[in-house]
Amino acid sequence: MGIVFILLPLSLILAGTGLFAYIWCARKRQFDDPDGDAQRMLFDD
Amino acid sequence: MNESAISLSDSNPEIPVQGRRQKGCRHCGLPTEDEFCCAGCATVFATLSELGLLDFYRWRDVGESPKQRVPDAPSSAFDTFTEIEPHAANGLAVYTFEIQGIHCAGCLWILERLSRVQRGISRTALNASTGELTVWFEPEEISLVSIARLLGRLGYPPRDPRERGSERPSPLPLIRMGVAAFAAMNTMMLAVSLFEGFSTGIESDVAATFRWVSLFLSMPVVLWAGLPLYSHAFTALRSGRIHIELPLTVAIVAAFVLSAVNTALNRPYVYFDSVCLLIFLLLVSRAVQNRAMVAAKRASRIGWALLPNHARLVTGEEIELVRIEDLVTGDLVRVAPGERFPADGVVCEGTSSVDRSILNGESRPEDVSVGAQVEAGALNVTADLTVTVRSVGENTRVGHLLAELRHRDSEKGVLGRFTDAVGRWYLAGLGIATLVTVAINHASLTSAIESVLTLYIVTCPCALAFSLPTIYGLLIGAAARRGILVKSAAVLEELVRAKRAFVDKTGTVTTGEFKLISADWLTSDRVCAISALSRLTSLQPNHPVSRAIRVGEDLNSGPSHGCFLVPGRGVQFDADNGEMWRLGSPTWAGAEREAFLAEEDTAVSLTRNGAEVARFILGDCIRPCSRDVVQALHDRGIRVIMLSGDQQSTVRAVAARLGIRSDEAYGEMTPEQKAQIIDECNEPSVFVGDGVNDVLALRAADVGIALAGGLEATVDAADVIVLDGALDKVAKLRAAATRAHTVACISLGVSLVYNLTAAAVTMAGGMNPLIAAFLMPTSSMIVMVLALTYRPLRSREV
Repeated sequence: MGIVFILLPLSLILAGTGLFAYIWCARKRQFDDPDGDAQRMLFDD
Repeated sequence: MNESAISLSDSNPEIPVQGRRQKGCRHCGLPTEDEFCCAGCATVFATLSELGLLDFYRWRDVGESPKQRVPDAPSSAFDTFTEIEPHAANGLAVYTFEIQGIHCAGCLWILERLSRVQRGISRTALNASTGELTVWFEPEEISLVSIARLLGRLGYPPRDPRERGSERPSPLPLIRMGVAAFAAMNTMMLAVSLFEGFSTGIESDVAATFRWVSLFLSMPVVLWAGLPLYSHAFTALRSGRIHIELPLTVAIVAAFVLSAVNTALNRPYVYFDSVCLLIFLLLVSRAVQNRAMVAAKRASRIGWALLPNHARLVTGEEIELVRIEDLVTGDLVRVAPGERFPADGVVCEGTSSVDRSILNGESRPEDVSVGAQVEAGALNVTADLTVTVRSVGENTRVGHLLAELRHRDSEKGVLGRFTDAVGRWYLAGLGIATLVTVAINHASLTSAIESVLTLYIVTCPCALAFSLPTIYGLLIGAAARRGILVKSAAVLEELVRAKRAFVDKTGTVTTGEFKLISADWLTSDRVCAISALSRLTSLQPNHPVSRAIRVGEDLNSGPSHGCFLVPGRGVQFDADNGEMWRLGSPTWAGAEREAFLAEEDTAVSLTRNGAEVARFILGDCIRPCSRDVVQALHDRGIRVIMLSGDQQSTVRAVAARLGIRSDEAYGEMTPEQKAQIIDECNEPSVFVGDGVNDVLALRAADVGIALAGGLEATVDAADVIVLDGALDKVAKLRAAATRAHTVACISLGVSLVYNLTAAAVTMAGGMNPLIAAFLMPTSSMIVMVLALTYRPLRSREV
């Protein structure tokens, strides 16, 4: 069962990376305009 | 730029409307019979063609969101921008406008390509969710005012900087939710392992590790992410109110402390996952409510742009341009035709007519002369007037209403009042349960404390705290984005309970405009007749009859000399060749035959020398959806009663066409009488009116619904405002509110059963902390999932 002491920190680090990425994006205001981003994707030019 | 040939017939879609196929406006797609629905759309189309930007129509979603008729801004509307200093960045100036009128991908497309069409604009970036347009420009090439005017011309007028909303929303709420979600998921994962360990065995050091890790994961959530919840609860407490979040705060703190103690003492009962999940769900619910409030605020802003920035002050012989803020009572100001009055006052010189539609929705101008009162924001239509100022700024009627609107915006919570009522019962029950628990478990201090804490942990007003707010927040937000402003969830509850619906006639079930229904030409020589008709209708081009005939027969306005008005009868034209043309009521004009006329219509004859040349039937068209709306309401057991100021016979006729019984149609009512009838009704009632002279009735009913209308009705009296005046939205709103009500009741029911059972077991001392730890998150999740299964989206229907 000792493997748990490796797996636990590992999983927390992985999840934590996700969390930090989310926080970074939020602070860069990438989530500020969900409607506009959805439409902007479709333009050709 | 993509030069693909766009088939412009795509941009004039046919929209099937009950009984009649109507074309859509070439620009915005709203149903209309002409090529464009309004001058604004026509102008934008012309501008886009000029600038080579017709690609816009590839991205325009037809009828995606309701287009509001943003009131036409006077030419001086953007002058305030001359006083703004834009920021400097890398040699360019930058400024962020808050613009109105965005409603589709086409708007986004064109606004981000302004640099291609206007020299001096380097780059533009639009935030479609908030309506903020940031423009980078060269100040030597173009001024801020010119940019504002360009935006106005394109149909996206920027809001007056004096009426700017608050600063950009911070990403903090999102971050809090993210942290809470992260902690909730991970602690749940660990908690499942611990539960599993209880039955199949787990090594004690592994279990202890899991508990400590859970503790550290929960700390940022309890100590930071949940802060807005605690502060809200305590603020309410300080002003003497107990908000539903108070027991939740106690529960969160209690659970966390208990779990921390247990972790330190190596005992197995911990509730970290419940705590984190609870905080997360509460944060989500608050976010939904905020979104609803923001959507409602954005949709309803009317703005100070209605008032001019400068006024012409008359001092002796001179006229001086002063700022509107510098006016005082007693000043004399001159207002030219086409300008809006800068203040409330009394006319001291001149005769003109005044359009007060901003205030009371009445679009027909009223004549004013010396001694008449005029209001700030009203439009002077015909001639110069000199006005003595009586009130300025916020003391004017308009200013007062706008200030009230702003004040109401800042009131906390769309739903606060509603949940408070049910919440009081819950808190009372909780208080009693606490006492009972202590009474039963007073064997020792620790057992008393533990059982009380467990009680608080286990009982959860989840339905009240986040399920109901989420349901109603979603509905109100979705409604606001579709142009229906609902003032609070309590209004929706009343709407569901309503048993009687009182409807106004003109403008509500009818379009409110005279239209030409049929034209009966009795002669083959139309040329002379048409030119005479054109002359006759040009005498008073804004008279409803003239306008209806001109639009219906597609006449241009022309000279009208030689014509004169015969009051109460019609218009007469004596031609040079001796012919006498008359346009007016058939008997006066000389027509002999009796026409078969529906009671609600009006007949007008064109005669030459007493012989009838043409007969026009005019009527106020009933909206196509009216009959269906009445039917839908009847199907749900709501009696529909029509109240109108119009003649009894006309009202009965219209009522019959809609399926309303004649004893439920009242004509010749004054506004006071309408309000009285509504007052006398004992059952919960709804009133639907178009805001014109309906203020009293709107107040009298339990739910007052205004279909567009003037400021007085919409800001003050109405509970629900339908911005584009579409009657069928009323029925759809009620249907959606009924569904919300059902889900809300189920949530409350589930929550009630759970709380009663859990509280009873805890009070008896039989609540195993393990079971408590399991029940809490489960019940919260069930109730939240219930709330989310409620779909207020009626995007395909509305």
